[in-house]
Amino acid sequence: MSDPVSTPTLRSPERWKTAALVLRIATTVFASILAALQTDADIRASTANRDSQFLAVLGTGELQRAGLAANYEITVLGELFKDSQAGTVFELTALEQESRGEDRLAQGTLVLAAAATARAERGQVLSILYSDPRYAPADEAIFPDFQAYLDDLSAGASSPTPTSPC
Amino acid sequence: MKYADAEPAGQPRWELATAIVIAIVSLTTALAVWWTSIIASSAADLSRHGLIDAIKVQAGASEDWRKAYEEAASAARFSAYAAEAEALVSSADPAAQARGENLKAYLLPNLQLPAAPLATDPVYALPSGAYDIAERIEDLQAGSDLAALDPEASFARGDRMASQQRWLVVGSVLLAISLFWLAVAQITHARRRALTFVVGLAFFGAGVSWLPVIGAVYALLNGGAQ
Repeated sequence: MSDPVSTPTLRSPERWKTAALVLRIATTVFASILAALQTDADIRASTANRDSQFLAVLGTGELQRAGLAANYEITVLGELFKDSQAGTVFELTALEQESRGEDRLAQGTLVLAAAATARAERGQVLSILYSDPRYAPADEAIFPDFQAYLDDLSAGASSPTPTSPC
Repeated sequence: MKYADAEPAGQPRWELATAIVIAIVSLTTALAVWWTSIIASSAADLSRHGLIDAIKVQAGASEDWRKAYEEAASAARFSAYAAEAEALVSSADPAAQARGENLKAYLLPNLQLPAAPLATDPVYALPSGAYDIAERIEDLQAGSDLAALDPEASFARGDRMASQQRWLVVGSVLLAISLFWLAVAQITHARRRALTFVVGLAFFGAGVSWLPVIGAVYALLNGGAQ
């Protein structure tokens, strides 16, 4: 019943078809595995992207808050210097007035000097740059270590945490 | 005709059965991909929600800081004028004394208003005479609804969803491998066909079992059904 001559001629194309089909299906399986790996890579990329955005939001918030704190300290420091210098100027003026024999005027000027000095001293109490030993003027120094204060502010902003105070 | 005669008698029935199983596996794969897609979408939503919450929290915190430092600036001005008034009152000059008393009576109360409660509540008064700005900020944040938002909790849930997505994709791969063997069964004959069919069914069973197990595990991890 079988035909030994015709069988190879029929089976050879069949074999090719079979091989092509197997390859197509194998490609589908490889594609599904590749899709799984791609999914994993996508998830990792999304997570990294989200984390970077989260840190950017935190960093922006920290920078804004550091700016608010620095603005306050600079304003207090500026008022402190102004009052301190005003006190010195009033004292010098009082000395000149005394040297000219204008004692009543000198007394009034000394009161102004005392008021300015009192404001400056209160400013020192309120300023972290004078009250915190990390920044307060050392020994005979007049000015506080403002750079150290700015460095600490920058350090807080460059390693942000949700509620870290500056 | 000779080629057709060489086929076993039950061939069409096998082909039909294999085709039906392939159709079922294909449908299951489609459903698994759909479920995976829903989980991926939920994970992305949670991440987005977490980022929105993070922005809200930061905006709220910055607003609390702005308010606290605004009060602090007013309090510093009030404190400086209070010191000046004290200096004037304690001077020997009657005119200066009168000026100091007037500052206390008329100016200081008005300066104190924008500095409240930092300059008025004893809770914020430090022994040095300064104001406890950090405490004021903490109190403002404690009373803020935005500070109660927890973006990292959303991120954690999103990460668990992403992890579930990964494992669901593994289930889809098992189903794809099942399709591979079933397709091979479709084109092979006799014992080889039976073997590949069984292997395909085994992968299908593994994939179908895998998906609900993953769903149950992550439902437990997330504290409830998804």
